[in-house]
Amino acid sequence: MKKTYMTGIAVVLAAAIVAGLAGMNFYAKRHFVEDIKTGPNVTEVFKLSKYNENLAGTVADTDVYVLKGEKEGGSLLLLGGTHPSEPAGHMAAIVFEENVKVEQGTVYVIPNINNSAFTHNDPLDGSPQYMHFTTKNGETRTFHYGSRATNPIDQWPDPDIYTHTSGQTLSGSETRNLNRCYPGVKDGTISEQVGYAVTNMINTLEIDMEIDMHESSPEYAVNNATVAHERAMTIASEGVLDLQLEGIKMSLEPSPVSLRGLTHRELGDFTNTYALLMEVGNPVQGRLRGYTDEKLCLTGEDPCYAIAYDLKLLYVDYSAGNFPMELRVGRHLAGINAYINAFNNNSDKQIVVSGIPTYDEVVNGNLGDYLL
Amino acid sequence: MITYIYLGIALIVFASTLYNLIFKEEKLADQINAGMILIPLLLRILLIK
Repeated sequence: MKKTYMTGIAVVLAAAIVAGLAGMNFYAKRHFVEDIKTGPNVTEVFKLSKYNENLAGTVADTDVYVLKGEKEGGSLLLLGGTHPSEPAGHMAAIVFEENVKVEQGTVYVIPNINNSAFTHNDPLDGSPQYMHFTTKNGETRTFHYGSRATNPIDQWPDPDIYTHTSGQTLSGSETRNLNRCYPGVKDGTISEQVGYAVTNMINTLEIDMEIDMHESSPEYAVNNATVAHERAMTIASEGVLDLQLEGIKMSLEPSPVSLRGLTHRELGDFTNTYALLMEVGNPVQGRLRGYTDEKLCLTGEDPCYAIAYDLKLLYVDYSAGNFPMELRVGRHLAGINAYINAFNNNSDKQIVVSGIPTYDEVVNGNLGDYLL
Repeated sequence: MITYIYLGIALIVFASTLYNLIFKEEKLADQINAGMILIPLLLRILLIK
């Protein structure tokens, strides 16, 4: 056999070993089932495919947790995990579902709304794959840290230019960004199918208010903010005032009319719901960050961001030198509480809940204390 | 449908790269280059990454 054949075969074997090692890691991530427990006050769990049968059997067919009160009232939809690289929204939804009791009205919680995006990480970002929390009873629970976008295994290829149903054009990779795909397309891409299911669910169940929970880079202007559709402005402004009075800084941003595909725009336009979106600062996804690992995800402690704060480049108060998960989840939970109260003050229907951990409790404790 | 076309293209590129690696490339450096190209192609064809 020629010498080059021998070296060629050796290289192929080496490549196979590398592919095998990397592949096992990626395969485990793709098939990891998160440890989300059904809270004691959850009255029903159903699949999102109930509102778009095309999702049935796909990775995107996520769970919807229903917390229905004994008395009829208003309804609320909580979306976590629109962008799984922004984990506070995901964790806030889980804490809500596992702890809260609804006395009146109904709350629908979807912790993994873009479930496909949880099954991979953004390339070249060095992101952690998982997050771990220790509960009060000493159990370690593991959750995904995912990507901003749908897994290309589930939606490939990206077009050069993504054209939204409104005609708006964006860069091609945004076709896998769920928060550019609303109101969705029933038989479109898998991201558009999820968007359609959410829109259809809100219309079918006549859900009164929707809150989409996000995080954003500390150097991004829309930060520690609530973005509201124009019909939701009364509720949003009242909620923001309440949060400010509690010492929780929250700005209010109007949903841009010309920026299409986002929950606060399309769910407000295509349904009767009051559409809100919350953002909280998160150094782990920022472009100025240094070494990226699970610790950064959980603590938000980054010397590069401390320097950026001193240079007045940030839109959040980073004087403490960190932005821990407890702070980020605490803000989302406080926001949910404030907007429920504001909804109740502005509607004949009522949503009455108990058991939402307070901002101070979450910030001064460990997130694991609020996991079952 | 287009996904399957792209997977087919990836499979063809994988096969031709593998053929070149073993039967055409004379230099070890070029063979290693080809080997590195095979890894992501294989992971995509197997729907792993």
